[in-house]
Amino acid sequence: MKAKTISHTPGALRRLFPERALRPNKQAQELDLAGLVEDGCADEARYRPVSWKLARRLLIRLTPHRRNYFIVCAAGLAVASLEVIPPKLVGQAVDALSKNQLDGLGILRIGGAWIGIICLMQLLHGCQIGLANTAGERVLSRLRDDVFAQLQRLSINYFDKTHPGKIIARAGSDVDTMRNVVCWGLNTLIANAAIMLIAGTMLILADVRLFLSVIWLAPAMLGLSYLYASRVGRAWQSVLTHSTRVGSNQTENIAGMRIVTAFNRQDLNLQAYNRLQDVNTANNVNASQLSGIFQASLQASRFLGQIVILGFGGWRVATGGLAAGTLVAASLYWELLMQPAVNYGAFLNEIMIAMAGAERVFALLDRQPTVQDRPGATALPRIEGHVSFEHVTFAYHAGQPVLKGIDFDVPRGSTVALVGATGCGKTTILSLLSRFHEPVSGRILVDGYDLNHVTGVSLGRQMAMVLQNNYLFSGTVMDNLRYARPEASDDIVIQAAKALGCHEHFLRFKEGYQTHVGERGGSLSLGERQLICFTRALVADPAILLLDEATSAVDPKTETDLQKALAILTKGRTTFIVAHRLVTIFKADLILVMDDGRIIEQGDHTQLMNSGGRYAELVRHYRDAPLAAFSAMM
Amino acid sequence: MLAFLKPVRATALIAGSVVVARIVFEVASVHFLSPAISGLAKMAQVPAGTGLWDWLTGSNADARHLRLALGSMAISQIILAIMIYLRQTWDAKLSMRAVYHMRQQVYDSLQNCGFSLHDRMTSGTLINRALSDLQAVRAFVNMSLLSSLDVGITIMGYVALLFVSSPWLGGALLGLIPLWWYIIRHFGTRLQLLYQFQQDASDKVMNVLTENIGGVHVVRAFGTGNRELGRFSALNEALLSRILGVVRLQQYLTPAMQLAASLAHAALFMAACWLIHKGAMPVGDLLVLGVAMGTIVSKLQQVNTMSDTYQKAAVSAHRLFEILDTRPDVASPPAAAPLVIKRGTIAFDRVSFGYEQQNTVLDRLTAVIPGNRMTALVGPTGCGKSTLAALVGRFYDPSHGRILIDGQDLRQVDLKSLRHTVGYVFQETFLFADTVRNNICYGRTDVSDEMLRAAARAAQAEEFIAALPRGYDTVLGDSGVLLSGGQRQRIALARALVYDPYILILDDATAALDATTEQALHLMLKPLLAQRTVIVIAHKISTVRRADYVLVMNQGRVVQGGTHDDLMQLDGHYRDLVRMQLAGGDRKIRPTVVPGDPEAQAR
Repeated sequence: MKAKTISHTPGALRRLFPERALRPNKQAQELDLAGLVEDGCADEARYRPVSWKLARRLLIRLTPHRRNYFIVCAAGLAVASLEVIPPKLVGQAVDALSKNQLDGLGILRIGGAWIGIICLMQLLHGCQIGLANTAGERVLSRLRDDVFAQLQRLSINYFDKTHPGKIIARAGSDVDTMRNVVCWGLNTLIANAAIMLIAGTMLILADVRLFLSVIWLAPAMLGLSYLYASRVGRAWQSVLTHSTRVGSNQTENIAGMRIVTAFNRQDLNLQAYNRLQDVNTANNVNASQLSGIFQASLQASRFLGQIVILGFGGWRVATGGLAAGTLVAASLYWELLMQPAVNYGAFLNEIMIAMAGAERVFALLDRQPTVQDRPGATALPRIEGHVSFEHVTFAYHAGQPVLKGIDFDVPRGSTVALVGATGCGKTTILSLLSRFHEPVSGRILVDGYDLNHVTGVSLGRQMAMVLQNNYLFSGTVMDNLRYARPEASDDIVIQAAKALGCHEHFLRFKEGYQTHVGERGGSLSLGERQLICFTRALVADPAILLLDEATSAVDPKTETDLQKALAILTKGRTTFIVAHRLVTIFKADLILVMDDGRIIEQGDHTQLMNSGGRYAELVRHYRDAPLAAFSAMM
Repeated sequence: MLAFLKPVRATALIAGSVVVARIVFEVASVHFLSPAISGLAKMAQVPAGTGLWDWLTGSNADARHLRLALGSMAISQIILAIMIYLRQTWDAKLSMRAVYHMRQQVYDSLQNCGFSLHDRMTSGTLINRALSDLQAVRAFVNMSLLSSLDVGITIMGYVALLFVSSPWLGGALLGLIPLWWYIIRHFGTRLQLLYQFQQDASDKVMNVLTENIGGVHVVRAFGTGNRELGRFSALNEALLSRILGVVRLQQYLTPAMQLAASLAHAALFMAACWLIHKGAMPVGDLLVLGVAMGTIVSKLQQVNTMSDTYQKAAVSAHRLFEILDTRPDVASPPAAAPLVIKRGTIAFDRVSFGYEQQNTVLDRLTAVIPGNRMTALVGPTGCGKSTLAALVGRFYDPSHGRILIDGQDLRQVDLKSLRHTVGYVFQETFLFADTVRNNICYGRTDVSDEMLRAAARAAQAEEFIAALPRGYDTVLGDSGVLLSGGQRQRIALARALVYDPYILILDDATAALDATTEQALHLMLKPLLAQRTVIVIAHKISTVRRADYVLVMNQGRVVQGGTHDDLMQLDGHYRDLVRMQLAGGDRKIRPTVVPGDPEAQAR
């Protein structure tokens, strides 16, 4: 949010020897770092050469605000033309003063003109700031909205495959990197070209020979500037990439404290850490030196121009070809002319950073969701919960099937326990039922409706899911309980809690139902979080309930409460449970024993025990390991 | 906060002198500008035909004067260019070296301060301190420390320069500085407040975003995507309006501040013209005035950023010192003798301990863990098993009582030798984002390939490691291969085996293994663990049965001790525990579940 333009601070005299620190983004890069480490985005490029395709897409997003941008650029042109007047005034003053022709009135006249120009320029500048930032921020805000909407459209597999830090960065830092370019890019481009053109013209008008004597330096400086952008930019990128390692080493050491202590690694680790630091320091100093060389040579070449102008121009003055004031003005024009060339590197840098951000954001926006409502998909009416799978196959990666032909039929209201070793496809069945993915072949029918041909929203409303990780949203317990049905009154929620026997639990929280759960429910215990999730599901009152039973052990009292709540929750609903507790499995109406993507046995507990197959064998084995998760036995 | 600079005093001194030198040459080159311009302005005419070279080398007094001025300018500019380069380099050196020491100190105190700090703060908080707080201090050292020196000296330099040419102008400028400073600070503070609002709004937007990524399954399963979209849009809109609030202030503020500076500049310009007109000042000083004004104003604008980074850094430094000042809660006594192991018998003598003062986890616990045997620790969750295990490796010291290994009080022996004697496999497996090899060899630097393989084989890890894309050189973790819980546990086990401790503590270390693997594991481990003291914390009765000896804990005390068979004969905690567990939490259906249950038959 800086209203910063690149060559845009009025007051031409200041430019004679401006100390322009050409260290674009060094600060930003370093400050960004801590965040980056957490985000896990260290491997992403921070620079990208200009691509016209990307630039065009960005431009298209600017068009709704074209009126703003037009005025900003027009004002930029006006400011650029006004910039050359103060040097002219100074030149006049010098001429008049050296000939002793300037009296009080003359001083007032020149000073007055100057003040007028200053006021006009600042007025224009103010308009520019308002219009450019407003338009730019609206564009960025729109981009954030679009990214979020796209995230809601994308299928679950995107989230499974992508580091959360990276997803956050899309709507956060990636959009932010475009800020300067989106707000000021056009203006900088046009105004800088105009300044060079006008200042160049003024220099020609002042004295053609003087112009010719120095103009060859301009392309040299542009070239230097360009080199600067590409070389120094890359140097800082490598600094960034490596210094993330220093941060992640520290992070790991804190997280693995017990191991570090138990294995006596403190000294070795400090050495390794310092080695990383050594490289980091060297990289940093190298990059700084590189940018120091460029800054010094930019400064030197600009100054070379000054010397040439003063020396050559001095001779012209002495031989009577030029007025002294014109020479002073010419030297100021030279500064004006060189400013864009000096800043060209910084500007290019910003554009490249913005391009890197834009590329990632647009790539996200272009991504097609793998599961989306088909054209003509119908809304699922109120369902009863009769579920059947017909020859369902599925693979996350082509060629590696996870489900290899699943068939079963579940009458409404029954409880189905999915049993089997890790990775046999239990959770995938839940994912397919909730349409996080679509089957590769076969059909899933709910009350006779093919899930592929119904709308996702109408399905979601009638289905609830309780997952192992017990995700809670920030807000109060009450907010979380009515997450699925925000219109539910407090009474309905409390009734549900009472029905599950959780009411007393919730009342025992610090502020009862109004207790804030903290980010990700951090302040609550595992068991408490699960009770909240159960109640949330009951409030949603779904026809189909999907449940991934938590494996983690909770204390016996809570365990009993959870089991009771579960019994009530599943009553009258078709329930699928990825079961880890034996007691849950015994109570199921149907047990699906899975192995390697297939159902190898199905039936209730008695049937399966009598048939003496895999299930019976497992249950017998189980007495040896009473507290273990059942699935671990397989 | 300047304490962080102590180790880099020399660098700081050089960097500081470079800053001063740079300013001196900058001011000098501006100073020569005046005689150059003045010389040009009142240059005596030479004949129209004089060539450039003749003019430059001519003996005309004015030309000589001009040559001198131009030459000095050129020289000071060349030195200035070098100084700019040096400034960059030393700036980086100073900040990097200062940061190096800061980081090293923080790193070292974090890994040596003991666990009470780690227990008190979540690792998230500590990581935040070690990274963000350090970053804030660093930002200050990097950007503001030398810059503040720069700003101060630059302003002094230019004011002095103007004083030389005209005390009147210098005085006027000196008077204006506090005024500008006040204006910049005043509006800067207001802007800061608005930025704070903006930041809060932005945090809210990011929060919703984060939640929707973490809770994406819940959002999808309940079909609340549109509602979330609405929530996000509303907050995003609020953020936009906060940002536009800043823009609105800025569109007046920025021009107004620049206008104030420019107007003062114009006024001084007019005054200077008047002074020159009166002959009290040379013409060239017009340009000097311009440069001085411009530079001073732009320097003053940095003051806000600097005071902002300073304030942030001060807060962060305070928090860092909290870490640095933490005394290690466990330390070797001076000149401690190393631990001498005979049988590895561990004795607990009325040991009390609590993580916080008010609640005790271990309560005057007395027990002996026999040497060269495998002892199982059992008991309900929260009874203090893991705590007891942590005390053996002296992760904490007991608040009362003492712990002896072969008769030697842990607090009297060398800490490193103790930790070399005691090895752990923890309940929560922590692996480093490194290769499998480096993870397994974590505790030792002298591991041969055979040892590595033998340990992996014994831990039942060889097979799956061989199947990894690059075998032992596969990188694990976030950016590498993800292993299952059971696989991770086996690597942790191999790590402990390579460490080769006399006393090995397995804290629920096989919970994530399936029955077959576990059985095979125990077969392999048996000979390896024969001549060691092994403490197993376990829930599975199958594991407990393999132990030579069982200690039953309840509420911070050892309530029973003996072999499995002995304890099953007694009416006590152990038998209750076994029975309760076998019931699977539901006694009613138990008989149908486990038809072959010996206990059911016994009844």
